[in-house]
Amino acid sequence: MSGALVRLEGAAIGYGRRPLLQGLDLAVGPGEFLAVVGPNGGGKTTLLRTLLGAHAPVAGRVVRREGLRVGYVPQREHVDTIWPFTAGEVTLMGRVPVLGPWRRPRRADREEARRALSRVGVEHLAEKRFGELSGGQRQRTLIARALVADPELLALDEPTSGMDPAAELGLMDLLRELQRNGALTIVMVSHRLEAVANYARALAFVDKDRRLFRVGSLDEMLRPDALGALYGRAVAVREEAGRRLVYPLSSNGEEVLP
Amino acid sequence: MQWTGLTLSIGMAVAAGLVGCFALMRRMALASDAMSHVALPGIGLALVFHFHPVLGGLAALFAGTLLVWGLERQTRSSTETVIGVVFSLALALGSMLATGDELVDALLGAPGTLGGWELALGLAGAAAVVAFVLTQRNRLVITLVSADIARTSGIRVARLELLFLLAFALTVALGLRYLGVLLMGSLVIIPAATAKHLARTLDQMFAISVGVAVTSTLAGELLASRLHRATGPVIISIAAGMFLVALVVRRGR
Repeated sequence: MSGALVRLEGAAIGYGRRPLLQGLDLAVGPGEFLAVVGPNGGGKTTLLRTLLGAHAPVAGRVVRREGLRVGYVPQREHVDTIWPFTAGEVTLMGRVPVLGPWRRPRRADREEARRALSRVGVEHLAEKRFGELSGGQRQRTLIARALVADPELLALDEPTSGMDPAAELGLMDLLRELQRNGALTIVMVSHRLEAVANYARALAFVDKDRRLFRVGSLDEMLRPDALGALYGRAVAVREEAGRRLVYPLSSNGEEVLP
Repeated sequence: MQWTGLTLSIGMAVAAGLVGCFALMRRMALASDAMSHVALPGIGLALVFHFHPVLGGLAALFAGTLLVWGLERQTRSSTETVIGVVFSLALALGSMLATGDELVDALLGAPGTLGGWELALGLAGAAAVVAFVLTQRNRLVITLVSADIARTSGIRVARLELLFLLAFALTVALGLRYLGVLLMGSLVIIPAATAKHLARTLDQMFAISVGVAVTSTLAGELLASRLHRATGPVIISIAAGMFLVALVVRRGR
């Protein structure tokens, strides 16, 4: 795809010299909402880190548009919560690439951080310690941190992991709103297809154990053959009240509730 | 105590208070203490070849830091593991090279009288550490929060970590003369640990840590001369006392 923000060209991803997956081609264009789905330990995070340049490919190329502004939201379990950071301070960290080493945050930077917290609906938590926030509030704070640098590409690693269904829906609604209203490109990793099936426009299925890497539009990927490759069993897709529901089928053909 | 010694010990305490916050956040509490022992072989060599022990200690600390950083990157082992190995080797070499009273002085410190060049070099070292921490504070914090966030923000994480370890080594070298190899690691960690219990924000943590380090150093020096005791152990005892008070204050909140 020409004009892509980031592109993998025949890339092999992995650690050391051992590739987890090879021959990967992927292009993420402006305004895309791509969800990378697969089982835990299947190579999704490695793929995301390679796309973002946090990890070098074992082989092949990763091409990022020059000057691309990336906002990265790591798995919140990887963020230490025992240190005395307030939610406002965590958000302000997003301004560091703009500030450089010498300039201290000014009022305008703090105002940007406040606006970012407000965009994700947690402005009132600015003075609260990050470690005292709920999982959903921490996730929103980390998204605010990523947004405060005005990114073109927002990359999230398992943002709904460990959330209850209501919080998960709330966060996915927020991401869709940010993508539509903020003209953001979103790449999101999730081990739950059900969580992203109604939000993403494109899906990438990744599983190193099955040597699976498949990318396509939502309609292409929610077909039985693609889903069968991901789950290793028959899968039914139903539409109820305008939402797509994905049901893996048990060996006797019964639906397994997501 | 001479004003030169006082000035240098305040500089050392400020550097220790700031660096300690990041060492604690990097979960280097025990490793910090072990790291200071890496100075021993350098002090031993300095005594054998008759040059200034602190310069020998500083050279060994820098060499040890590069070794720790290199091994950490090559073997993907944790900082604690690598420092543990380098520390044991340094302690063995140091014990072979320095003996008797010299070894006791190296371990516990022996302030003595400071020369002009020693003061200038010490203050320059303290200023370099403080300038590094203050200018790189935000980048260091992001790297601690998430190395991947740092990398995607354009921060060169490996280089920053090396610079931090060198700043840490320089801070330890600044305190070798006063506190010795055994106790300097404690002045890096105890004030930061005290601050962590009391602070609600990062700025508060830095301020409290520096305050505890400077107060315990000054009070320790004053008390040690009155009690006719070695300076280092008195300084660390006062710092540890402040840590215990912080625990009680925290429980009372």
